[in-house]
Amino acid sequence: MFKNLFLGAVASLFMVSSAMADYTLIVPQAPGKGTSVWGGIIAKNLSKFLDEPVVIRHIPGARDIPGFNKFHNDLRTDDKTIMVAHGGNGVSYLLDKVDYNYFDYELIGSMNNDIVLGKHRGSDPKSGNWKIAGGSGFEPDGAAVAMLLCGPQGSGTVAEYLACWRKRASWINGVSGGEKRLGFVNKEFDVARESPAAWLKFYKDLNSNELWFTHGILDLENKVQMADPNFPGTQFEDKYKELWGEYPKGDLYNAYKLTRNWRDAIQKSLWVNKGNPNTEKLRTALAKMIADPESSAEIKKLAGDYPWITDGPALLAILKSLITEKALKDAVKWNQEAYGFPSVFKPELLK
Amino acid sequence: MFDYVLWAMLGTLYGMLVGIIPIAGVTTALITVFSMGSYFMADPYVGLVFLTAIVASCASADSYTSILTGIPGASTTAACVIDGYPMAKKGQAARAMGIAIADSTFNGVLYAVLAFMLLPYYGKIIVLFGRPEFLGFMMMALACVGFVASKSVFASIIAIAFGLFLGFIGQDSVGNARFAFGWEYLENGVGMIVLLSGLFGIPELLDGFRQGKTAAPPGAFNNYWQQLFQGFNDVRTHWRDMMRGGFIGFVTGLLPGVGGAVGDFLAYGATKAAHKEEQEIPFGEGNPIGLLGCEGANNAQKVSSMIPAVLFAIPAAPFAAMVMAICMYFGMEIGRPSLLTDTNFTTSIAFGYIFGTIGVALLSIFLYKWIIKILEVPYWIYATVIIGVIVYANMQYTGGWEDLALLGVLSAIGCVLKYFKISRPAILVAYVVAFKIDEYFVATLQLYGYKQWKPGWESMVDFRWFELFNIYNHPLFLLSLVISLGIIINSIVRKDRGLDYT
Repeated sequence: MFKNLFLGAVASLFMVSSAMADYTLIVPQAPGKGTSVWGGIIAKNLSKFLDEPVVIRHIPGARDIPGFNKFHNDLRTDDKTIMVAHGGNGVSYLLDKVDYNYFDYELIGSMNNDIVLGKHRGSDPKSGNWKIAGGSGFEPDGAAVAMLLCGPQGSGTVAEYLACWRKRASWINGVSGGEKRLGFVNKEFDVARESPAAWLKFYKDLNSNELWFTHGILDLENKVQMADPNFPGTQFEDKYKELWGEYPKGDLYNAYKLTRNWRDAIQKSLWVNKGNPNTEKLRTALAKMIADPESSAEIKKLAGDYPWITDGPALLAILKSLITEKALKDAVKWNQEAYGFPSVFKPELLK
Repeated sequence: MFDYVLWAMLGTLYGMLVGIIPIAGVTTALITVFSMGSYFMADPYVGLVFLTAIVASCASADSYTSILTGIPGASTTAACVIDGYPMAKKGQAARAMGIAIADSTFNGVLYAVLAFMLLPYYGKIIVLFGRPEFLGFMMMALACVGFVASKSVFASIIAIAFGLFLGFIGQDSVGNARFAFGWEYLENGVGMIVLLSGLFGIPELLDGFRQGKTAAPPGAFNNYWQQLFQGFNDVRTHWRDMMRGGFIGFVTGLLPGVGGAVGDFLAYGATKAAHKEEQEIPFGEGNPIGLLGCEGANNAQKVSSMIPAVLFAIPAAPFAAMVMAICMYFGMEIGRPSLLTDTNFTTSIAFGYIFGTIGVALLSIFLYKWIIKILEVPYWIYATVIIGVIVYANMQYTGGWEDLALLGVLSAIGCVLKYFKISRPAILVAYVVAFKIDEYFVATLQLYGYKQWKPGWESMVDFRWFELFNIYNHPLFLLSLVISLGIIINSIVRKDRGLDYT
């Protein structure tokens, strides 16, 4: 009886919460993962300014693609369904077979974010074979590391960098989340790769490492990449020049810019279907949430102090401008040959 | 202080309630309180007490229900089903409960204290472990399949191969679909809940219908107190087995990413290996020593799994990842070595865990007298409700038809396996270690064996095996391989090889 009462209570709670649920955030991950936690905090804070409950629906799947596909194929016509996407979804849009298409949606808001790369203190990028634990979403990080390890290579083609990469780096696939961190601490791996908040959280107590470089963030107004205000003087291009005496250039660099911006400018973003009648209402609520000190502090604590982008058309126009046939093909080639990823060239992205 | 005690009590009660539900384990309990995270922002330490009390009490209650129903609440309680459930079926449910309560409580408290004493030294020890060492440990776990395999060598090979196959379903290390048969849903792998439901839950319940089961076997709930104390006495008599199990679970939990069912099955295997003498009741048929040898491993493993999560943000098991996520939600920054200097943090975890472990034991002693009566409920009601819970739990994954389709397929396979007496625990062990073995094997080869930069065919033959097998470089890896080999040989040559169970 005790058990049945409990089950009844659980079932009732579920039904009540389902009935009350108004807006639904689709999170393409299982509970507990990074974007999922971020989505939970957004749902809680956004509901305060929408005056309606916002609930989370988790649709996990391989590389977080099936949840976004389901939103695109089945759920987006619901006016109260919002997609929570992350940077990995942006890279997958470029390089994997996916159903979803950012140009079919309206942007509610995107946290313009960054990724931090660290190395062991005093290690010299110009020497040795570097061991790097990689994975899905690490594409631009690996390309940046390759350029830093190899320096200027002829005319900077992907083939030239691949030849150097094979000598200078070992890319270790399939090492799961936190184990990459342990592998870095015990010096099995030479590079640490973290979100800014995680970097500050996990590495600030360790003396044996140093921040190597960051990617910077997108300056939407001037349409350029600018230094990360949280880590001044660490941007990849500047670190490259410091090491090699000139700024990076060439095909791999263009491919790097393409994947970097498609990942980081939409690192944590909210989307609804194009023509959704609630778009303006959601944007207004998001603006209030961003302006609210309490909500803003909570979000910053989790994801770092980064600006929001709310001008969807301007953002997508910049991202679209980076997609050229050459850059896309080079990104695919780099992914396939440097990492072994099953990336595909998608000519439809050039239309 | 009042807040701490109150939330420890609430956590204990809630963890116990979820633990009672078949299939729902610690991870499920934590998922359902995720949204409560913001409540603890004012005092995150209270939240920590609440979470650790849930983990402790749910881990224990999970085992108790698994023993009564034969349906593992989580992979970590699957080993205790092997002898615990047959005991319950033979009318010794309360004795099995007595063993489980005493074992869980003793190991839970002992290793909670040890874990917090070890915290300052863990960081120095764990850096000795690299990919090869973790690979060696997983090989040892896989070798232990032999202890829970069937008597038939052929059936055992089928079980191990099938378990490995299930574990490999999903994607390989670079993201290529593997054994997904073009079904995108399968590219994320086969989840633990659907696997436990399909292989154990549904077949056991359907078998009950097939047998025309109406209620519990005679004596299932008679002499509750007498049986309970008999169970306590079993633990006292066989304290070495209990201690061994707890120790193995504790060590397993300390290894980042290993955790899970591995510790319990290693403990079960070690118990079986330590008792080569003729047993009055064979292992797998309700031998109390089999139960007490592995039961406490679950609790010891739960507490030690917290250490890599706390210090390095490396969850050793899914529940530890949930604890980390909820802590992030209420602003507690887990995963920093500097937490060691925060005495409030360590005492909150220790208090919550020990309170939950002892609390659920006391509650269980008095409440299970009634909970055990679920065996008395008319079978069709009992089984229908449990099937409903299982279906509901599985639908929480994506909410799509695919959840039910996979449950249906695995349930059908589970029934076939049960009919042909192919060891489902062996499948579970192989499934659990498959993915990790793959991960560590690939990483070990890439790091120590395979020179990436040699072009063409040269790279295929250029392995630096000497570096990997050099005892000075990786002594723990070599030791693990030798032990694994010993376990395999022992499994093959011993007379009482395998278990005759379904």
